[in-house]
Amino acid sequence: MANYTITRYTESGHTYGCTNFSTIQIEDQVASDGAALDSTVVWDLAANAGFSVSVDDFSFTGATQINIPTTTPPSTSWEDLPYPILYAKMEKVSSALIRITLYLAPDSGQASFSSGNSFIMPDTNVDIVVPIEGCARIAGGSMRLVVETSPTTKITTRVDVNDDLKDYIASNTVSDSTDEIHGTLPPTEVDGGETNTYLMSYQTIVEEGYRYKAPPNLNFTDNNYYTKRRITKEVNPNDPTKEDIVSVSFDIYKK
Amino acid sequence: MAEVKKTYSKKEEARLDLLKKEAVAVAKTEKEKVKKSEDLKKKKTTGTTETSGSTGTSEADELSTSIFGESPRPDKAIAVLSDLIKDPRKDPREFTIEELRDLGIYKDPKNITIQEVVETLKTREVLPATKPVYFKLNYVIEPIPRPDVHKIYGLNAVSRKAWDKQFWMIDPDDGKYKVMHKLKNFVKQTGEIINVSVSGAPETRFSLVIHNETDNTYFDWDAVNPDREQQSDPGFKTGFRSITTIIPSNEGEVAINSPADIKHSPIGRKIGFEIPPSSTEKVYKISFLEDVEHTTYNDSLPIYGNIEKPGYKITQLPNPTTTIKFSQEDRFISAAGDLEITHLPGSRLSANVNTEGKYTISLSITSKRVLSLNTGLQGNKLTDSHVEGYSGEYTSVEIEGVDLTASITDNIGSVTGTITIGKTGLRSSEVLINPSSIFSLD
Repeated sequence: MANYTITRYTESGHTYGCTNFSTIQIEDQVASDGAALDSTVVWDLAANAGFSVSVDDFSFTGATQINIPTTTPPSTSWEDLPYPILYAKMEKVSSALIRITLYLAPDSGQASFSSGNSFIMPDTNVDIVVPIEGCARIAGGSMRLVVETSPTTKITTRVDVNDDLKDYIASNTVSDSTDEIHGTLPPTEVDGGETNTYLMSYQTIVEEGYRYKAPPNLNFTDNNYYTKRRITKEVNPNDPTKEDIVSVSFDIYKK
Repeated sequence: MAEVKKTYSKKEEARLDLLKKEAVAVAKTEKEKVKKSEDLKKKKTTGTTETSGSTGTSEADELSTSIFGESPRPDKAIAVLSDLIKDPRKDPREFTIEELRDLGIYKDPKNITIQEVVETLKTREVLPATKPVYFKLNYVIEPIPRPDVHKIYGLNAVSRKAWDKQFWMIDPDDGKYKVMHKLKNFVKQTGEIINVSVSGAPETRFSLVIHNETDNTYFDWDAVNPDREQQSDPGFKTGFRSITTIIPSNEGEVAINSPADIKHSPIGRKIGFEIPPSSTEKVYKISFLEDVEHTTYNDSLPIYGNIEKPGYKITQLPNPTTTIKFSQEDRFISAAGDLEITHLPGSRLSANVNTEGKYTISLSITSKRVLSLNTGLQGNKLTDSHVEGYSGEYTSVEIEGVDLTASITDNIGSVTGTITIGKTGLRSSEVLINPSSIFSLD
């Protein structure tokens, strides 16, 4: 079962058939922007609850993707679609919604969509099948972590968010001893297998001339997270056979 | 919560960046490990066929214009909007400013259509409120003990305790605060080489001074310097002298031994000093010279010329004597027989295997008056009460036993027999026999 639904975006002035996916047109009407036979058919591809969608995960089967520069919001453009569709575009509206626009006429406002002939309604019904391939992903959960420690000038802390997640989560230093990390994790593939996500590292270094008496601990109670502790040692200046713990890094993962 | 900008020094940043780099590497390794494990799992479940792992939710969806009609995705904001537009009394154009504001739209209600409102709301992602998860870092830090530099910790004689430390204290005799010491260690009259060890932080320079306070001479270290072209006899010379040397970098202690032992030491000028023979008591003091750049000395160490930190005292004692004789009394005239025993300072004479501390005496005494034996003498025998050893701090003598008989011949009183002496004094002392406790005068 698909984990998203597609509905047609309805506009005033159109006469829809038994479903919104069909409109009633008159012979010889020419597809044109804002005309009785509108040049665009707009569908909304919406993720089901708990899922999210991305334009990169969907394609028109058999169509050719037009190579265009990266857009904001992200979108993909297509040609070689079933007649009489000249072009199509998938555009991100939100992480849960993709707007699909099918062009029945060229659009002079978009360089890639400017050639071809406008569709003219014939004297028979036109049924168009537009195959779309793709899959929604499991929506990433939102998270909010607060990392605290006792205020001191003897240790320095820093949150380093996983570079791969910088578009999703952000860290905010509340004070010298408190950091807040929040955001929404990226969606994961339904059959993606591995679910543990490396979120960030909480680094703590001790002032020069000091050492940790014992390896520090990062205590928390939420079972959705786990940490890995990495300890850095330096050779003791008095006794080269011994080492002092001078920095510790906690890598925080979400299960 | 307001954001605070943390600042890091370049050094801190470099250390933190290094940790970050490690974290990325660890995460990458972890990811690869999990991926391998997942791939292995898939292989096991699907045999040799590599599949993309598609499921029922990812099949291609063929859509036509005639098969779709599902309702839009439920959305909190849209649900609120639905409530508004389902109200028959309200025309979409009759939104109030407040209603639009509740939806987060700040436009004139007269210039916005229901469709525009729906469009605006659809573009928004509704993030659920998330409770924070608290992570608490617990740690205990402590300063890293650092090695001392330019520090001298101690001064010791290598083979035995050769000196006594002096302290500031109240003299019980006169109640005055003064430098005092208890004589416990001494050098014999024959003299000796004293080997010194100095402990301290590696590569610390220090200077030592050995001062003969009795003669006001100083030990001449240069005289025994093997590197010197012209050498003179080692020993105490007039005029201030000292030795300056350094704690080796790998030992933390300098052993100042005999010249033969250390002649080829890279440090050089490490030598014990010799107390020469002396028949009279002499006092030497060993102390550090404070005038060495950067060097600090442990507070308890002696510093030359610093009255608050007096030098360690080396006392050279000549062999003392213990004399057995009648105590002086005006009514008696001592005749003859005093026995003078010469011994090492503080020796226990009874421990001597030859004498066992037993000495034969024959003392005589007379008087201008007529002598008679005291009636209290049992069988003319003397007891311990008739003999008394000195009890001074450094002159006390232990009497371990007496076997003495008193007699009178021709008005000459005699005490003969043996007396056994135990521990003797550090300095010369006496064992006295009280004549009036033995003899009466008419």
